[in-house]
Amino acid sequence: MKGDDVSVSDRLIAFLPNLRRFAISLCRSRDLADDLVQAACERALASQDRFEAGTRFDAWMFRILRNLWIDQVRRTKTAGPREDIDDRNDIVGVSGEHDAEARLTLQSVAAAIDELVDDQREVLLLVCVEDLSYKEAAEVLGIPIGTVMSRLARARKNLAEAAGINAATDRSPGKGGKA
Amino acid sequence: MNRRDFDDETLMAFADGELDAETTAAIEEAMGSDDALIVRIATFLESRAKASAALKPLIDEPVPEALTQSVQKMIDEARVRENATAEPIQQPATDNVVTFQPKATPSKVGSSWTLPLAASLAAVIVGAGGYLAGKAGMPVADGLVLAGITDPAMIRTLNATPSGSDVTVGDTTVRLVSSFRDGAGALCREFELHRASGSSLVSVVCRAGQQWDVRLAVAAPAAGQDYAPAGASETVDAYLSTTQAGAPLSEAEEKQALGLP
Repeated sequence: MKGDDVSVSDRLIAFLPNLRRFAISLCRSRDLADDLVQAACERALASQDRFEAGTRFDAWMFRILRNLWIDQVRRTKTAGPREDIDDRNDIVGVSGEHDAEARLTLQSVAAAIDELVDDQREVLLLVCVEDLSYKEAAEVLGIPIGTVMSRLARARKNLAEAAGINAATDRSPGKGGKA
Repeated sequence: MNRRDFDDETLMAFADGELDAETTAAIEEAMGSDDALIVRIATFLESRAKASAALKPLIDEPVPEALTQSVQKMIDEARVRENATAEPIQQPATDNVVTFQPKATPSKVGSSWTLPLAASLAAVIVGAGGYLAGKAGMPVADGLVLAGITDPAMIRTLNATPSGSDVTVGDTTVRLVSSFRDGAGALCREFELHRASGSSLVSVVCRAGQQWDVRLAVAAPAAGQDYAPAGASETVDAYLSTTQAGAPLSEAEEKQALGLP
């Protein structure tokens, strides 16, 4: 009962750029991201029998990687600040965008995404960058769809505000960054 | 027409194309006479487009060669292991050629690794018995004393310490790693014990009534650092996947599950 006709191991290498993109924006550091991607691949290979045919491989991999990340955050939470926090701001370093103004906007958007609380950032990445449906994101995160929607809506309003995307007419009372 | 109020989640779902047909039609109609509604929807369309434009290009960044190689190596090793456990009809595969093999039947897939795993888990549980027993002051009557945690300080720690924190009990540091629900819905906690002597233990306990039952305990040699050595976490991972452990609970979910204020 491996994947469809293609096994997990056949898909992993081709999926590395996607996995790495998610990891970089999740943990905001390339070094941490690469370790995380490697650990996720290791775990995926060890449990490839548990991948269900016909389900989304990307969602399955994101779930593995994200759970590893949560574990790691918890393990290191008490161990003082991480040293890599400085390279957060170069996350948008590869855009093919040449127009200086547009580039600036993208950087401010990326910075605003960085500033979101983790709960909001991860759901934003899954839906708006990785194009998962609400339901798929809910499965990756292990939370109800309603929670996905409320976190995502807050994330996008906070993002819009921080990056000056739009003068949104806000009709919900709280606009804080907290989940 | 009537002016309905739509909340942010509904408008976002509309912008994302995730809304049911009926509500979609209602919003489309309302948009005709409500500029503020259009602005709110535009915010959601725009935020998605901007997030996507800002971060999607990351996918074009070349994957470091070392990472690709390391993953390829893991894949190759996994295939070798897979072939080693397959039926004897298997032809010896060379390094880069994988023999096509018929799909294993479901029962075979499960048994090929759960059997040796079960045996090794039994071994580590017995092996860790002395550790926990000696440390937490439990009676060392037989190999099964691990059935429940009896040390009051340890019970308090498990009951009230959020994941991500360390608690020192005697000369042992307890690091709470995560909380989750197992396949049967019981609240479980993964934690590490680090003794002053340098040895450590990774354990999973699940709540049964008022007590914590030890489901797994893996002794790990001192790693020098704070991290549990890879061998131990692999065993924990394997165990978690056999018990259909759910995703780690968030801080809020954990508080609620533990009944903390």
